Amino acid sequence: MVQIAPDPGESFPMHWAIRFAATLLPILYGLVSLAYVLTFFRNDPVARRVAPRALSTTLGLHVLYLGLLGLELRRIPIATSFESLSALALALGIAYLVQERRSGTPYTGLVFIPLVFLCQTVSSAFANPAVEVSPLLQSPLFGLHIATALLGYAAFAVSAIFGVLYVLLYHSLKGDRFGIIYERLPPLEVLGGMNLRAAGFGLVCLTLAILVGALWSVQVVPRFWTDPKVWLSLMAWVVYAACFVFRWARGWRGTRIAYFTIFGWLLIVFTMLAANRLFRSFHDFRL
Amino acid sequence: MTTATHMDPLAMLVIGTNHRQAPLDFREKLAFVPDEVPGFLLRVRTALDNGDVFMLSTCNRTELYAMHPDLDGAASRVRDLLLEYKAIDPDRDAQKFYEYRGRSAVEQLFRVAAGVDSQALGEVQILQQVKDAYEVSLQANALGVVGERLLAAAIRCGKRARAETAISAGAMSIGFAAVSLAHKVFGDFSSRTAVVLGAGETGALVARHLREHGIGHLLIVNRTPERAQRLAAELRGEALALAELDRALAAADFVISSTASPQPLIDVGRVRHAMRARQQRTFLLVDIGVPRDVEPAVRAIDNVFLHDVDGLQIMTQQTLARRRREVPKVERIVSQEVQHFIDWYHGMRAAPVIKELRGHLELLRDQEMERHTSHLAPEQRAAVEQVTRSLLNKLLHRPTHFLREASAQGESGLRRIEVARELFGLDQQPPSDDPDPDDSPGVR
Repeated sequence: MVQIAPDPGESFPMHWAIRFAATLLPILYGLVSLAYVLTFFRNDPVARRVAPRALSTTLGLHVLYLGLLGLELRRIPIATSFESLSALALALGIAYLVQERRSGTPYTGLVFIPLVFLCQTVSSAFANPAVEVSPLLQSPLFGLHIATALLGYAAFAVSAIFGVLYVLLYHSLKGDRFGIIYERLPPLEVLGGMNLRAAGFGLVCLTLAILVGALWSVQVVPRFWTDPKVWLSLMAWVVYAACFVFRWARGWRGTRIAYFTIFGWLLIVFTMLAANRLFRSFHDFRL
Repeated sequence: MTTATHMDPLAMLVIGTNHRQAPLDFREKLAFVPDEVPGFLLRVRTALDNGDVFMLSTCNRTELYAMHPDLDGAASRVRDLLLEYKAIDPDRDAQKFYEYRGRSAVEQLFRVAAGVDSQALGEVQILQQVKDAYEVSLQANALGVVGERLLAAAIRCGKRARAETAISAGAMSIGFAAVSLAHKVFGDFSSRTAVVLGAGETGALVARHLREHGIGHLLIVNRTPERAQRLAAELRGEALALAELDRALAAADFVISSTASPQPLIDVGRVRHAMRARQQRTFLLVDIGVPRDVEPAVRAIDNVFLHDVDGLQIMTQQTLARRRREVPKVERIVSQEVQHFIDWYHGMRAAPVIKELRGHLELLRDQEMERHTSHLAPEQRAAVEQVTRSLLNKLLHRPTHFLREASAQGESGLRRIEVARELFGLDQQPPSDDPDPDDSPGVR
């Protein structure tokens, strides 16, 4: 649970507001997830109407929560893994909502929103902003670096989700299976387009994150290339860049691209988890 | 004494026939072309003393809805007019009609609008046909307040059924299934190119479906170029000879084929060649031809989707099964909407009864005032006038409330209204000038 020592005086109500929002957000995301589950499996008209509105409201509360947290901590609240998870949940939620508005179909919410729920629940349960963080985070370049990196990873997650949906629909169509997957998912080419565009957007963001990060690190962490997370980010960049090179040079289409983006995302998640456990990284900003 | 008007909860009936009741040749005979409808509606309306009338005539049904207090007489007149107008032998074909009255007539219309009485369960066209028929009745001045309300409620019921259930989801015909498959692969058609291979009856039907769904570019390939050109001219497409098929395959996003060719026209080599030319972009082939026009092994090529008649039939059967599962949900909506309409109708009926009751008691009061106050001075007369009016208002307060409550309680409420009518003698002539003084509510 988000724990902040109550500061006597004026910030005390803010402290309670933050604790309240941290508790409320997983509950709200859970309810929104339920609405999307009902929308997908039962095509429930009430759930279909309520789900996007409830999601918009919850995302608004989420923005407010991170804003208050930033004010309370007097820094960007994405310094630790668990804080970043909350920002990732917000980015995923917004990306999904934009996609739903554009495509007009609410059924892919079944995959996105439970993921948002999971990220925020873990963040609310384990984030501890009371920890002291490195003064390095005062640099404005850090804000740009972390924002582009988070957007990039969120975009890769979105791309992987669309990749999975593309593969599911592809095999339904190939096998003359016209069940709930066929019924509910958006058209195959729409899924393929989202899969590719999200990967492209992620690659641009990651490129920026790496460049800005390198520029900033040269000044404050001269031996930055010894950090395993730097190498992992570069590896992710190479994987996604290769995906576009193969598409352009070898005419890769459809499932090949989809599988590549799913593989890329799994690689990022597992190697990041492993790196956190096995190596000491300067990307851990706790003091 | 009660009349049919008061006992029947809804003075409404429907006489008609549909695909379950009569064979096609009879339905054809009974069908009305649009130009015939207004004139016939007016004839029926005149025969029914200006009662509301509405006609729905499609390829699968002809139904005439009518409102009249005397349902027996109205049914007989409507039936006679229909038989006479369409020169139908009553002895031979009378059993090919069905007739519903009251609530059942309303249910029939609402079920039709919701698509659950259609031959193609859940079809969407019927709702538009109900709307069109409503417009025709309105323009022919054949509908009153109740009729308009009935039709508006039926259309709302049809819309709700389609919005709140999946009764119209999916494809029911092979041609529509082919088009819906292409939608599932490509989404919006406006920037897509489709090839219709074979310009026969099925090909023409599919090509029309594609044009209606806003296909960007339509290529029609046929062994006989003239036939392709005719269809292309009608649908703003481009006609190509069979020799140009490879060019068409390279340019197209999807192909729907329905030729009578005994050999497959599209084999694996041809599709592989096309895929190279189209840089491996997604390619959909829907083969409705029997014998098949596309070699089945094409299915194994990456990013190529091949569906034949068997696959499409799986789709239509699944659609039908899914739609059947939705019927109970639609029936619930129909039931709600029918009840909603009947509640409104009963509410309408309570108001005239209240007015009649007040008028009846006012008349009694006037008569008694006339009889017993002629010898009084004007001031005394005014005082008695005031007392009796006040007393009457107080006496009427409870029955008025009772009637308003009863009007909102459906069938049982209607019976209570009937009891009230009998209790206050509203169906009887006004009392004579010499009533038994003990029965008179007047002032002595």
